[in-house]
Amino acid sequence: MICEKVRSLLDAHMDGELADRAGQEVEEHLDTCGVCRERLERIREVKNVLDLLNVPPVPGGFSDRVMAEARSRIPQTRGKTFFVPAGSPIRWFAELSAPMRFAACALTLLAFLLGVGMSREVSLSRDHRNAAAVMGNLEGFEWFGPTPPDSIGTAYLSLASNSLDAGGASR
Amino acid sequence: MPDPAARDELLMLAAGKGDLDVFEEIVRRHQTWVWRTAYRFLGHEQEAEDMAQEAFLRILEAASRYQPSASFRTYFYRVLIRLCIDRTRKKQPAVVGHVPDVPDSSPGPEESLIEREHRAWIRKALDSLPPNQKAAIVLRHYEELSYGEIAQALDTTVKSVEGLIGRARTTLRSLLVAAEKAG
Repeated sequence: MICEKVRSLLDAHMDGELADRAGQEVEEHLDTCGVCRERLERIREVKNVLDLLNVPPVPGGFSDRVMAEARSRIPQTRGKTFFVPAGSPIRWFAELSAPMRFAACALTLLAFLLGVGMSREVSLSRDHRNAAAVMGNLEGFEWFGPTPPDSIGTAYLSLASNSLDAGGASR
Repeated sequence: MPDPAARDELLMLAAGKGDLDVFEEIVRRHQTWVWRTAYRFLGHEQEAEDMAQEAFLRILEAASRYQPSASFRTYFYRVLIRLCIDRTRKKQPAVVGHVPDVPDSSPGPEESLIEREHRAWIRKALDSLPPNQKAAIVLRHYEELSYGEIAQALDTTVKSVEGLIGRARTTLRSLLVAAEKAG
């Protein structure tokens, strides 16, 4: 195995992540390559330095604070529990008393019905306006108005009325 | 009272049905490593406690949807690390190779001055890493997760984890050399 390949495997090798065969090949290379051994040693130094970072103990009362917050986020509703994030409108509603909840529902329903009624009125008056405009256009369209004097229409009507006067039967 | 020998996955399923006693058992079992990981990542006691607490609450919130397809602990690491990385990104952008001047948050009275300086230096060096590299190093070095488990926790591949750890150690190594030369 060449150095470049081994260098890319040194971290995984040190962490015990290489499969047996690959690990063995890396070990064989390290036995003969001082440069790669040096590189592995530098990785170990970083590991040793990181070991110096200790951690304070869990803060006292941590689990109590977690549970207190958990209970505040879980309202009880008819025997079912569900988690509601802080600030949610569902949580606001769940925390109201029963009479207030009833009032909130009644107001919401009233507002909904008013909104539906008003939008229906607007819609109907708009339809009426549209129909009136259409009818106004139709009135200007004269199907049975008088024909101009020198027109074919006048001549035709004149012939038709003469033949009717003469009791003209069709040939 | 939950069975102390019950597996975490079973406790989670019970917590998902609203059993807070069971959730308390989960908190009791896991608070130490959750706190430890958050502290090693963030380096600040109050922030670590905030993120550790939020991680537990996120677990509880998701309990009703929990599916034990992976180990509970790996799942929990993922939730915690995601929170810690988001917190870090909101605070400041990552500047690779630069060691910020951040005061050590909890010096122990019995430590020698040298030990305290080492700890402060390590804290600064870790905080100079990009969040994903820091997460990989914390999970590998301190929590001793396998590369596969780290990949699950970071929602990435094993190959990517190898690269993150390699780059993180190279950066830490160069910072160490620079610090030694500076005396």
